[in-house]
Amino acid sequence: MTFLNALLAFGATAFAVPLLIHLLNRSKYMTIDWGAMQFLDSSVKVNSRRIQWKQLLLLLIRCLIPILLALAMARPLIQTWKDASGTTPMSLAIVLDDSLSMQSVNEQAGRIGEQRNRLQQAIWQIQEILEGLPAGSDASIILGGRPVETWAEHQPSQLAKRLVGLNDRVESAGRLDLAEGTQAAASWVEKSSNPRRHMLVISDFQASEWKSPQQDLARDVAKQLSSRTVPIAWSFMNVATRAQEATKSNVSILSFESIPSQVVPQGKLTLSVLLQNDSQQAVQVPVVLMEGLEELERQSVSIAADSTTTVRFGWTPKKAQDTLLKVIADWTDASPQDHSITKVVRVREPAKILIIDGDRKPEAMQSESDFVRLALTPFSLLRGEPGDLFTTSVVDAGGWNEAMLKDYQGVVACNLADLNPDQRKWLRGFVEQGGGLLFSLGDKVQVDRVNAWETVAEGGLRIGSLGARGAWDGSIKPTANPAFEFSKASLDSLGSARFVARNTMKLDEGQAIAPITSLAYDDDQPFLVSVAIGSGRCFWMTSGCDDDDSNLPALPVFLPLVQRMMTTAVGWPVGWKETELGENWIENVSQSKKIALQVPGHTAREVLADPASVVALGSSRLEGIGQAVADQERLYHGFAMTAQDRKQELVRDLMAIEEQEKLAQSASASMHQDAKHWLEQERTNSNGKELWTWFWLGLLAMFLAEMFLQQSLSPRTSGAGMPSVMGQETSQTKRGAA
Amino acid sequence: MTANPLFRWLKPTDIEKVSVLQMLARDAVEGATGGIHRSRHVGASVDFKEHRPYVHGDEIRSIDWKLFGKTDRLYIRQYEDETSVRAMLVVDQSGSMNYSGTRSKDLTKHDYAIRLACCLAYLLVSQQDSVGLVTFDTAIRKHIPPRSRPDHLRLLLESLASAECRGETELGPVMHQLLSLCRKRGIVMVLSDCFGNATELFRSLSMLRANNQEVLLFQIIDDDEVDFPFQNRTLFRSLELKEQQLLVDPVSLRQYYLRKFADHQESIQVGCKQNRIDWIPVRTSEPFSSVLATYIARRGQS
Repeated sequence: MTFLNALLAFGATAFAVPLLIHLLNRSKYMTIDWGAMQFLDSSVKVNSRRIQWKQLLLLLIRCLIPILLALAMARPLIQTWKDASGTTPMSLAIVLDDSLSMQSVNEQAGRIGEQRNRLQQAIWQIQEILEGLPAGSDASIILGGRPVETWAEHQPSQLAKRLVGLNDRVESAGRLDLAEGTQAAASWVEKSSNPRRHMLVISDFQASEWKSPQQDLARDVAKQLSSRTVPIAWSFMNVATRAQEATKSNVSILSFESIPSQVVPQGKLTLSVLLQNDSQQAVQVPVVLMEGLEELERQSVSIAADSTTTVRFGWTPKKAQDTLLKVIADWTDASPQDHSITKVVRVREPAKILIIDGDRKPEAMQSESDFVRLALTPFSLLRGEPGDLFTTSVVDAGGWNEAMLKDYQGVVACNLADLNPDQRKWLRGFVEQGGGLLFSLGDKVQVDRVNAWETVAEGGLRIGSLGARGAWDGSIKPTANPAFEFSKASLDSLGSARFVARNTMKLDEGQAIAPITSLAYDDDQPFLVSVAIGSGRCFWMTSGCDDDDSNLPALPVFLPLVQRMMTTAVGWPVGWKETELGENWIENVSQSKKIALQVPGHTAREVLADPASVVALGSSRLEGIGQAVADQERLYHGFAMTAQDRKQELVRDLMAIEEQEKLAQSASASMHQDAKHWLEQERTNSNGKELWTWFWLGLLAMFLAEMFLQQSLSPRTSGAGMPSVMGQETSQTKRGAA
Repeated sequence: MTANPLFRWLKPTDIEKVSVLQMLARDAVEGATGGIHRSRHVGASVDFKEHRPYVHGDEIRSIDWKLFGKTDRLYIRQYEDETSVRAMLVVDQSGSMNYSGTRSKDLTKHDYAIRLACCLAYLLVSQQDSVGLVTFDTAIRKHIPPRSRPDHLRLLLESLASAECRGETELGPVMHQLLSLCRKRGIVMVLSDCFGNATELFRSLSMLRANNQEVLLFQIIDDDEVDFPFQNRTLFRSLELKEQQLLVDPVSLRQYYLRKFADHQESIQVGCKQNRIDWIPVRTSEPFSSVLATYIARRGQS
């Protein structure tokens, strides 16, 4: 015998309460000096044994009452009893695989002219099952695609209603997460109150989701389910029919890239989409670029047999906001789920940069500021077009003040001889509040005076001691641990850099926030060093940005390097990470912090991240942008359906029927092909009988017995008939009778 | 000034109530002096009793000549004689009389008996009857022969007051002893709770009756003994036998107790009726002077 509410069974210990009261009452008595002992004495002699027996019986009954009550409420269940009628209510948790592959069209199913995908087929089966459940049953649906979603309505009819809209949902899930899904289902079933507990997994049995190691997982799940106090039976239902040769005509989108990843309003973005044609003949596929529901551009692409083609779209954002772009191949085949792909594009207002030049020359392209300007605003300077990530203003060494800084997000200080204490204080404040600062040393720098500046620890900007400027012939290379990554093209370009003159720099030891050296000279002297101050960042470059110092400004790497430095300095995220829908957004956390998290489709929440660990910040079924804010740091993350690794296996790679049977057997589950079959088997399979009715009846009987005994032991309200003179009517001897 | 012991027991209001009463013997009694009670002898009074045929030796002056004129036969006119009564107060001083319940304002049954005895003694003495006293538990403890002098009352009260309750109630043997003390016709007033053997009691009371004594049985009982109101577990210690005690649950015993008690009362009631004894059950919660007044008033009516 097991209990459905095992915890309540401990209530049976309440039997101690009447026992305790009884014992306490026994030890407590009052004393009376009594006259009419003869009546009492004889009463005791005659009745003591009977009364004792009755009292013990009453005590027993009173002890039994809490025991029976607790047992009845704990809902005892005998599983070996078979309920032949099959009407025992059941708790049914349906784990529905709603991964993308379920959207494949089942060609053999359905009436002619009606396309059913596997999900729709599953929905119909579930609706049939929900209708066929015994009265009083409750059911829940667990959407098994990542992230797992639980629909815990208890009323089967409500669930059936909710199911109708499932196929038209905007959300889409990742791969089937069998472990999470069965876990959620089991914990729901555990909470339910019915003696019969069942879990039904409905899937298309895609090989990649079900074969090893998932097969072992299914076995483990089976073990877990059967080891529960009230075992949960489970079964599988396959809703996929094998499509013959349908995959041969499949068209899918493989990837969707945007160049560059950052863009400003009016800036041009190139989007390239890679399409694949698996069929044996060339096809002409219309491809559509969409922003939300609006169609932006349509191209007709011809793809040769069994090959791939890249389509390019141009897109110019109008507003500075993150935008979800979607590409759809307007094509009909058996797996429509790989015909669309989305991407989140960040659109921001250009950052304003103030360039302070200590050696401004009237000629074009002679001063350092000219090179920096060119690197920051190439479009406007070279082509006169909008689309630069930055806007710049150039001032002389003395031509700026604190108030001016408020309008800028970044400052580049080129070839300055010195800064006066006020200027240093302004710049330090500017960086602390989130501004980006780049010192580019040149031939004008006065080493002694710069070395007299306050260090970062002292509330200044200096991170080390400068050595004298001297000639140097060599190149630079990235360090092992740079502040940002370099692409392969940039690395190649860096290799050809040649320097003429430089300052050496000896970094201060033991600083609270260690500076990061991103680039170093060949002799390991630092070239590019950055340090975080407050919520901003300060870069030091130990050589100038003009051709007196090096050939760097002429190299292709210069433009992305300067742009990278400034985007990093002004706090723009370097990269743009995306995860597939349903997969976890994972971040490396270097120190313990509280993260305010916003994931599309979820309410905002806070996560406490442990230091030096990989934190899963959550997954989403909705496309969009996730945002994590910790202290001043802001992380952005895109959630998009990339469908990359799933392109074609969706349809092709189903488990064979024999394999499915073997899987079911190893997981001690039964395999079903439709709802009717499942319902029939469940009807003959209904084990478990609840005993609580008997306990309630016993409880009632005990209450009645208690009342009866209590009555028989308790005093009647009236006393003995004792006439008194005051109220005497008769019983007088007659006067004079003698 | 020596306080009148009467006032120790009775309040002036009680005395006032009692003093207006007159208690008459039901049966003819034998008194030593003239009084208000009917004597068994014919004598000189204003109350005509009967006519009787003249026999030799009767006084000529007692012949009813008017009747002779009518019937031509000689009859003698007889008149009732009136005399005083000899009353004996028999007060139970056994241990069980020491009980006072919750509703009797700390008045034990014995206290109540004393007060009732005082009232009776006062009443009788004030109508020039003679009153004696017998106190007893298992045997007679004290005996004061009947006198009618007013200062005799003081003696009675003092000996009542000094009494102390102990021992068992055993009315049977006591009454046997009492027989030898009450030779002449009179009234015996028993004040007791009548706990003990009822059969034994009535055997001896019937002997008293046979000895031409009118018997009044004042049964003094506490309310608690009547309805046994105890709820919690209780240790009942006997007032009569020190070693006897019972730890019981009164609730479960109650109905058996009440049945026993009712049986006992019934046998007393039946015994009284058979022996023509006046049974006056009294509860200590009732004011004794009112009880007495009510009883005497009713006695006058019947």
